[in-house]
Amino acid sequence: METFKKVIFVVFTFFLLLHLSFTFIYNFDKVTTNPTIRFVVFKYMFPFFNQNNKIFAPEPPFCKQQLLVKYKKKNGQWGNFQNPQTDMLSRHVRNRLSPIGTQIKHYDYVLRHVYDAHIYAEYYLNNNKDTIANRDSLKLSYLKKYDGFNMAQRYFSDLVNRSEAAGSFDSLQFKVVYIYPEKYKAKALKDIKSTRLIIDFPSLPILSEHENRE
Amino acid sequence: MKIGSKIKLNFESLVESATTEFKAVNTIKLFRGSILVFIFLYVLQFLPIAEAYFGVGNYMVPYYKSSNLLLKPLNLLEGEQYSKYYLVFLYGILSSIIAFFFLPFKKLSLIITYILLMNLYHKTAPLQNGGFSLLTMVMFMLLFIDEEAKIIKNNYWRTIKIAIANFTFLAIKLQVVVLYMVASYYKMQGETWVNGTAFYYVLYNDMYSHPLFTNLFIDNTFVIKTISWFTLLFQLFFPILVWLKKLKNVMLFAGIFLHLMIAWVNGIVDFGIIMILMYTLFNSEAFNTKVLSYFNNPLKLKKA
Repeated sequence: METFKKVIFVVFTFFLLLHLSFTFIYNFDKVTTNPTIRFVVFKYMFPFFNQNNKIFAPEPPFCKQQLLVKYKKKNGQWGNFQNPQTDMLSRHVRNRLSPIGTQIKHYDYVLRHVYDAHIYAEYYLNNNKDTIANRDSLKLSYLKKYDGFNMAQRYFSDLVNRSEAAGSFDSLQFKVVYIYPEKYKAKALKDIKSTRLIIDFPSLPILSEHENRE
Repeated sequence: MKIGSKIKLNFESLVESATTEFKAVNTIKLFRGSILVFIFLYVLQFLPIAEAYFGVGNYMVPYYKSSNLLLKPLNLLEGEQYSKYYLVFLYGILSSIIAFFFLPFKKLSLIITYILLMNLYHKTAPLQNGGFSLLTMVMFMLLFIDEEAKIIKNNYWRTIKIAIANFTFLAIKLQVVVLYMVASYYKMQGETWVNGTAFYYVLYNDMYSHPLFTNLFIDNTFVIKTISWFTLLFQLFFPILVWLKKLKNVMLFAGIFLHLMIAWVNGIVDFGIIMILMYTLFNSEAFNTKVLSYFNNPLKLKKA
């Protein structure tokens, strides 16, 4: 029995060390760049030991990001850009335990998809700049090739379709704004200077609930 | 005594303690119970908004491109096929947790909870943080721990089960430590954590700050630097100091403070709560036994 215990101890120690080594290789890119080792480690770690431990690392987010949207009435009049996340944030401040926290993270996820679609569309537009006659419509066709952009269109269409003003709008338009504060100079919030990166998008039709289901 | 025989003695006592008895029975009971209560409440508060993330026409873009066969049963909600049954997954978790606490077949309840939870987790993976990844990983490891292994009659089988429990328990604790090691290592690669201005950028961002704190402290160099460096130093030293008896409680109290702040100031509540629950694993068995007995029978304890 004593020998059996020793064997068991050695075997499990080996597995624990192996698991730890794989965890380190998975988390630290610099441990090894060998593609075969990384392939084996990934196969072992995913999906049971998948992990993401880089919250706010190496840096915290350097800017505020806003996804603004405006809607056009059927009579042709555009409303102002609004940021639905502002209301979510103030509700979350009032009650940190409410599920609104998930909706805030999701809004940020929608924003990232809209931005990624923009990068994707701009890449193709810049590669074909000599042949473009109507940049807006071509950009829209590239944006629409990106699943995340279509999801954003559905998200904001549903938002208005489920509001009291449902049926009175026919188009929507996004704007993404990144606000970068100056480096830390111990200034009060109102005195902090910032630079803005503004990305405009072409207008889109509001999808009906039926179209969204499809 | 010669060094060789000292090493032999130490090795033998290590083998004995790892294969003869699992000493963290109540720690595991308390930890598993509190994790399950957390998941129950998390799923419950998710119910009213769940359709947007799991239902037909949800606002999530397919995330995994992997053809991993093991992933398929843990990622059923990725496709349209099962989306209309998303409530089965949510109510399934609630029911299996209730079953775990009040019915026999606890292991089966745990396995069902894990599989259903992983499906929800994978569908919303881009929205999740390191805390939830840790939670799913720990849930998987908990499946291998049988804290009642000592009652098994077959000597060989009992030894194996006790060894599995001991090594898995250690692996879970190491996983918590790895989270801090990775976070601190990558923070050290950045500029703002090292120069102490990271908290300024966090406060500037509405999504991760509380207006009260932003207005009070965004221009206060002492607070900005103290919090930035405290976070970095805590994550850097936790992996070492938490194993030292004299400093363990200091680290755990500091960690609870840090994670309560992350929950309240940064609004990352699930991460904060999960990390605080993980600290249960580092408490002494005697302390956890007291806490567990309070939860098992609070009235009896009060009378005593």
